[in-house]
Amino acid sequence: MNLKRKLTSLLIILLCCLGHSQSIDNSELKDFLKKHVSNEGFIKYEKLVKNKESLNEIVVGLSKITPNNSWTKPETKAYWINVYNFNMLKLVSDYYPLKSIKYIQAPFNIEFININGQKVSLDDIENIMIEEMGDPRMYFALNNTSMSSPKLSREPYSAETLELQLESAAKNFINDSSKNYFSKTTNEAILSPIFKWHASDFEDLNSFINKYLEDKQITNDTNISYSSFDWTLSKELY
Amino acid sequence: MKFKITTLLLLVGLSSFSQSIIKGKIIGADGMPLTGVNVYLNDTFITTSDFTGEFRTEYNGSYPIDVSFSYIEYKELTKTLFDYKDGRNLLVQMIKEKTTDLTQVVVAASRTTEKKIETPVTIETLSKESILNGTSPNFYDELVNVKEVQLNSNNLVSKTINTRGFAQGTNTRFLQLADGAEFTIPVFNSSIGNSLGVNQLDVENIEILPGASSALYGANAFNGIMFINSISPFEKTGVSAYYTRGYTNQEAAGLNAFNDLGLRWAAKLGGQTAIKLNLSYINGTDWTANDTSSKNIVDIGLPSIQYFDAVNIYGDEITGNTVIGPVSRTGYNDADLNDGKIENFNGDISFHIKPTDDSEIKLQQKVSYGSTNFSGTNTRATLKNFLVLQSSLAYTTKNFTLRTYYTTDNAGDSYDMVRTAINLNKKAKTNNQWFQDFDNALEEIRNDNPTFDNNTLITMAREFADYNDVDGYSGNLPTSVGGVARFEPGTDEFDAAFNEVSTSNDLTNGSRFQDKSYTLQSDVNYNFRDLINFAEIQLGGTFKEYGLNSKGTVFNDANDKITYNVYGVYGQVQKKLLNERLKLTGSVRYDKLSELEGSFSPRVSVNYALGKKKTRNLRASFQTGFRNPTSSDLYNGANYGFISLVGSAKDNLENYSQIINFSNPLLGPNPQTVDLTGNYIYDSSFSVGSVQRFANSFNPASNPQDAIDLLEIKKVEAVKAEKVESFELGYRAGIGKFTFDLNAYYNKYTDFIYTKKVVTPYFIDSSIAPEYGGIGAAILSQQFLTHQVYTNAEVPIETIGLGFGIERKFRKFFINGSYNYTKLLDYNETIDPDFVPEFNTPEHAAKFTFGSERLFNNFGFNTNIRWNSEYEWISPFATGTISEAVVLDAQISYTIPAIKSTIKASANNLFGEEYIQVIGSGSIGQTYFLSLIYNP
Repeated sequence: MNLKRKLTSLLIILLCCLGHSQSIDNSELKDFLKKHVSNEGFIKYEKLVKNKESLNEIVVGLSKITPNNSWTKPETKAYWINVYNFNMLKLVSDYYPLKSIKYIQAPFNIEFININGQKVSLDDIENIMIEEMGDPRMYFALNNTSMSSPKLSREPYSAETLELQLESAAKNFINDSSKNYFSKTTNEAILSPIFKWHASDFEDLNSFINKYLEDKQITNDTNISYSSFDWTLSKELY
Repeated sequence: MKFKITTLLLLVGLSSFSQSIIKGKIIGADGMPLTGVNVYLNDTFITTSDFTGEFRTEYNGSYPIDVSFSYIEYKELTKTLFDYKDGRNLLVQMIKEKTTDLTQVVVAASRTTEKKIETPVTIETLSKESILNGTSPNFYDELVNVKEVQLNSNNLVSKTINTRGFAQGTNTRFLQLADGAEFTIPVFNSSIGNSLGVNQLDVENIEILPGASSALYGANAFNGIMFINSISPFEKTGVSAYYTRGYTNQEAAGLNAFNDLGLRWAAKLGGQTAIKLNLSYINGTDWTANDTSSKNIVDIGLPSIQYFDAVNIYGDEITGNTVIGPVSRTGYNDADLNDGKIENFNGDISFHIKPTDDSEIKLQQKVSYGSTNFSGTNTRATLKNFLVLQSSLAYTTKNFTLRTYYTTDNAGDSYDMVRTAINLNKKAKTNNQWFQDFDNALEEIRNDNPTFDNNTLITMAREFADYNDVDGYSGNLPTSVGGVARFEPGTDEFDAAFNEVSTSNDLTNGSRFQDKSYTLQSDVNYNFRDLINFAEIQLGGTFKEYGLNSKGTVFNDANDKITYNVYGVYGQVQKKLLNERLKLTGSVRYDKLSELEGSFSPRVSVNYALGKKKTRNLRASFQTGFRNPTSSDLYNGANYGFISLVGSAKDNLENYSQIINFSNPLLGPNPQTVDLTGNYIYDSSFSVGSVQRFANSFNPASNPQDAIDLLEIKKVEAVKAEKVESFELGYRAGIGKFTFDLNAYYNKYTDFIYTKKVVTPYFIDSSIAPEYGGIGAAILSQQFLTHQVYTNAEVPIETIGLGFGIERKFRKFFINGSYNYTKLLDYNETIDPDFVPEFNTPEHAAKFTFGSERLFNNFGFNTNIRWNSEYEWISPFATGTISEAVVLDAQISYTIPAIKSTIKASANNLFGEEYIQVIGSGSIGQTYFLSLIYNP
């Protein structure tokens, strides 16, 4: 299936599917995340590998739910974020131990995610949903297990709390000095490459950042550079 | 699984070999750049980060490649770069390592930051957490549970610590520094506990170097040195506070409450300036000192009712020659001469300015004010309204330190208890009057009652001499030759006389200390690490001026203030070899005190790390240390009536003078005058031993010359620096979940400084016939004075020691134990028979700690148990045996995170047996307390 066709069909799923609104029960997801993500947002990979079965069940469960146009925007956004994050966990759990997902060939292009009978990749989900939803904050909700990636939330995303969750994801990411550096003494900033990769999604990058940045504002004069992305597996060092 | 698993090989195959730049910025958790981080590519050292935290290197090898970052105190970090893009602009955030015995970083051992496990000499630490979990009422007392440390406590305020032998009531051989500045009290040449130190809430960490460190820290770091570092106001702002309420319980003093409260406040005033304020106040009751055993080991065989000098009875030092031989005057108990109350206020305020990220200017004023009893080396004193002030200015950068500080004390209403008792007695009756009354009463009662035994007669004569009456005796008594009855404690007369004596500066009838001595010190240190790469080189120097001003009450400065100075310069080279496994350090220091000869003290040390992660470390060091004589050794001039202390600085020997008028028929009918100058005392005195032997064997009727020949006049050499040569081997390792430390050392001391007593006759005339005493004639006529002189031992002495410590944290518990063996080796006692080493250290000491910071919910507990073997305590003031002791302390604590507070209930000495740490101070009973600590 070529990319264009795939995107189109996903789009159909996203926007046109008819069906009954299904109540989404996140409790299993919630339990799973609590058990496998530390307070500081580190994934407990060994445990994850041990509990692959229940992870599979969750992923299968997510495949069975299909968004349809009776869903609200928040419901749809929350669903896709969860699909992405849980499938990412599934991918890494199949290969672990490994020092980086880069050791998996083209991890974001593997079509292993079953959505309504179609196989899609992580990239497909990321591109399509954010483009369609027009909400760049969602980038900060997606975790790809790398050091430079936004942290994985211990709470699954849900429609009711989505707004708060996305706000805090953006805020946490921007203020995480391991990902975005704002000098305290000079007008210099080193931003995450996520902002560069998705530059077109941020209409006004400065004001987007300033909205979330604490204790500091950037301006047009700020000397901005972008860091390189650290693909090292994010693991608690203790 | 249908994914294609790619191998590393495949990726390597895809990677390019083109030249690329790997660069980035390294920051800490707070987002501040980290300077000097080592950067490695595939384990090969490449470069270090500059002052903006940035690094850059060219690379033209294959990908993927590992780039690692290592920085002391931080966790090592490795990143894998999969292609050149991944290394174009790295943002590297490093986080601090969790502190364990293996990862902890110390500064003191080599004046540079290094891992505790890799230090070339033994180092002990006490962390903020251990203080919080401690069982003791304050952090200073908690030092008793640290390996190697011997705490010698008088009470809640007054105490000293020591390591590796030769402890003293005022420990002039152990140096204490707060943020790099000595908190030595000028008049004592030593610290008293934590007075002028660091507020408990402001302690960041404590490092202790047992053994000599003169090569790095100068002359006074002879037995050891302790560094207390405070928390920067840039790092912790806000308010912290504690309040401790407790009770001390002792058989003699009963149950007494104490209160201890403290506050720390720090605030940043903008990004570059900060202010910090610390306050603490403690009040309580001293352990009553009521040791009535003999002050000296030698028993001359007389009944104690006649002649006895008890440790804690003062005034009985005065003896007179009576019809039955030497008799001691009746003394006063220690408890009668002080109110037993202790009180101490400590405060400091500091302003901090950071002109740049890595430099700081600090201006600080410290104050300590209080009252406590105090067992000095020479006497027991009550420090009352004693004030110490320290002003300091420090400028530090990453590589440079300049610090200058002025410390001064004011003795306030302090007084000497021994002198108080002597002068109280003299106020009632002069010594002549008292001994005459004693003689008269004894003879009259003996004549009237030939059947009375000796002890009854002495008791009655003493009572008469004291009170001009003998209770219940209806026989005839003589008329007193003069004076009034002894002042009985508890009466108004006693209080009036006591106040008069203790507030008078005149040594002949008063006992007040007057002192306004000061020290002015400047230290400078520069580390050339950013200028010189092949090794880490440091140079530094120190200058200290002493100004003694006691109006003759401590030093021989009644007429003129005394000033003298000490300076020192040092250098150190440290080189790491063999992939940083081998560390060689060499240092040398030169110090000189005013007119004394200067001394060099070198140190060489080697450390070798074993194991993949360098978790096992061997260390070996050789160093020489030396210690200059103290102000007291040099300029003492205190006269106690029964003894005068005469320091041996060249100018002191010239300036010291005591004019005595006397007459002796052997010298003709005319009154005589002699000037006992310092030089005369040092050149022409008899040793105490020889006088005793002469007095015991002299018989005018039978070979008197034989006894006279026993008298020895030996010139006492003026005191000079003492020296130690020290060899030490150590091993520190993390094996499994345990960390061990093992060390063994050998110390050889030469020219050990000590005090001895000599007998200075008013005249020595070899023309006097042997039957009249010959050159000892003045002794027979009681025409002599005893002096305490300061000199060096002629015989070298050696000590050996062994230390073992083990530590483990498992689940919620921490456990550690230690054992120290410290032994003074036998030496040839005939070379310098007057020399008695004041070793004052138990041969065996063991400590054990078991606790949990958080046992369940927010409850924690801790227990400490300590044991020491019996040992002798020898000091010019008093000598005695310190018994074996086992002490158990325990605490339970409850933390309430919501209000950032911890409540702690603790009991010290749960076994209840009272024990002594310093002969002359009260025995230590139990302490119970409840502490509330906010935001520690």
